[in-house]
Amino acid sequence: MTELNHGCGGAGCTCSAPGSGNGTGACGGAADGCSCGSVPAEIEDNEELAAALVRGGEQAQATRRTFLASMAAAAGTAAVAGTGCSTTLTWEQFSQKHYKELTPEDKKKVIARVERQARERYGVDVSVSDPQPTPGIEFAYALNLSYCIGCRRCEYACPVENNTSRDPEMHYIRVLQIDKGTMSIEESESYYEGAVPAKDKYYMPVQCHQCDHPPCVRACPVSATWKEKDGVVVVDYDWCIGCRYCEAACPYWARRFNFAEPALHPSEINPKQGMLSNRIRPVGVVEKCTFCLHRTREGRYPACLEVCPTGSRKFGNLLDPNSEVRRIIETKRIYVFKEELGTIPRFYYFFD
Amino acid sequence: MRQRTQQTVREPRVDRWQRTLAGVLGSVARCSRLAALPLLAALCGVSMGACGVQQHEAGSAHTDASLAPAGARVAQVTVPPRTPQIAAFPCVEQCHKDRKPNPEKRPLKEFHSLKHIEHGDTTFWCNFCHNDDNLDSLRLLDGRLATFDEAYRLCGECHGDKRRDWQAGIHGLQTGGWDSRRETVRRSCTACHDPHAPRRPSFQALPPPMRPRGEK
Repeated sequence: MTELNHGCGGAGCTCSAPGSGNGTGACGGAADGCSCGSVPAEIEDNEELAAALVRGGEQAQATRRTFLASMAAAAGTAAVAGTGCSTTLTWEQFSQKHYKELTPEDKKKVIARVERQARERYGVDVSVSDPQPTPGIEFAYALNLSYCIGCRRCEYACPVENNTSRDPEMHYIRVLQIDKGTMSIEESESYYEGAVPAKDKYYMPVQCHQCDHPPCVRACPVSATWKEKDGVVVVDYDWCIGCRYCEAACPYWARRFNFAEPALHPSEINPKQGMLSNRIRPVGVVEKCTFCLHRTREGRYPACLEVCPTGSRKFGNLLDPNSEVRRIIETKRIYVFKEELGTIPRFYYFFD
Repeated sequence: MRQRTQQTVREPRVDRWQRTLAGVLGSVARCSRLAALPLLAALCGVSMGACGVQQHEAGSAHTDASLAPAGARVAQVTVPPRTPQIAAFPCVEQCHKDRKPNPEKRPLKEFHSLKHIEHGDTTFWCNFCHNDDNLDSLRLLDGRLATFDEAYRLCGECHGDKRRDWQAGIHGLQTGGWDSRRETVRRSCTACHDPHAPRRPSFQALPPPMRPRGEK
């Protein structure tokens, strides 16, 4: 944990994550910072962090009560909580509508707030865009299992593009090392090291499959996640309550939860951000791979594809008969992961 | 035809008879596209509503299929030149002005440090691919010449399946853009494979991810 996490005078707000509902930290509004600031800033070890998270859960009740009390005091007029805390819940945020109900003016305000918060918390100027799906385009991804060598370049290119937390580490892509001649995911290994490809092994990177029937969307109790018209499943980070039902529902282990406020060094932040994709997430919300929609909706390839040294990753428009993915689907041997679940993924593995 | 394929891919819940109906209507639409489109949309809507089949979420694009697909792949592919990265190029100017090509197989000692060519078993020698008369070019099997930037023409003569896939964008790394809005950059064969030893060397994997707490 770096000091960057803590905008409130050294006291960590991360402790309130599990119980803080909207992931906005539910600080009590006390002028001197967070009422939940019982975790010392010098937490460095993961085990200490774990203990802190548990303690935070126990305190959540009190925290929420304090928050509601301050809500009543403020009577919904101005900002509810005091300033200076990085995870302060402002009235602006609290009253923000669901992404789909935002008018263009509302969206501008939200984008302005997100950009302002990035400046306040990380000291970097970011530009947040909100590219929309184009009619006639549905994204699909194909990955060549015959060529992938499991070097994990994609796994590490993703956080750089998507501003995911570096500590605790968050990777959208998990590369499985599997024995040749089997398709046994249960016996696969995702913590392999050393030179790749290892003898008699093949590699299978797993990330969000952007299902056509996404179980995660059905599991969400507050509709904070949905499928866009181009097939990408997205999350409204301001609407997510952090219940993690979607994480449990996903058969591809594709969803990640922000247990702590994303730890990012200002130099690591990608300033070109999308509202539904790679903007810096608040603590306590779920996030996932979005096929880099801030890139792909502008016609670029996803970051994981461009970094692949073997060219195993292919991306394109499923509705365009001349696209690479269509050609792969029509001419190669396709493997749909967990096809029997009926999720109808947009992510196809193939052999060559 | 194209329309039907597209619908098969994206309309998994639409029944076969509806697809047939859509196909028939699509052919009508092709005859008088503009006039028939609203009719097509209306009829599809009515038929789906009547039998209670929930329309696909992206179903609004259902009728768009007969229109030109947005962002359709248009050939805007560039293959970056390789010669600037070959240190000894141009070969003739730098070394091979006066030397006569020696077709005899032998260990190369002077400049080329190749111990042996790990390509084509033991049958290959330099002049199998390089043009003896002008070493700045490659010679195809039928005697035509290719530049070093067009190595894919030479490689594709034996590896036709890979060449076909490469040309379709399936083999090898492509960067840039996936549709007509941006230029696609496609690497030539020799950007990834050493032509004298095409098997890719092994990589060092980046470190494994952090283990969840409690997992051993």
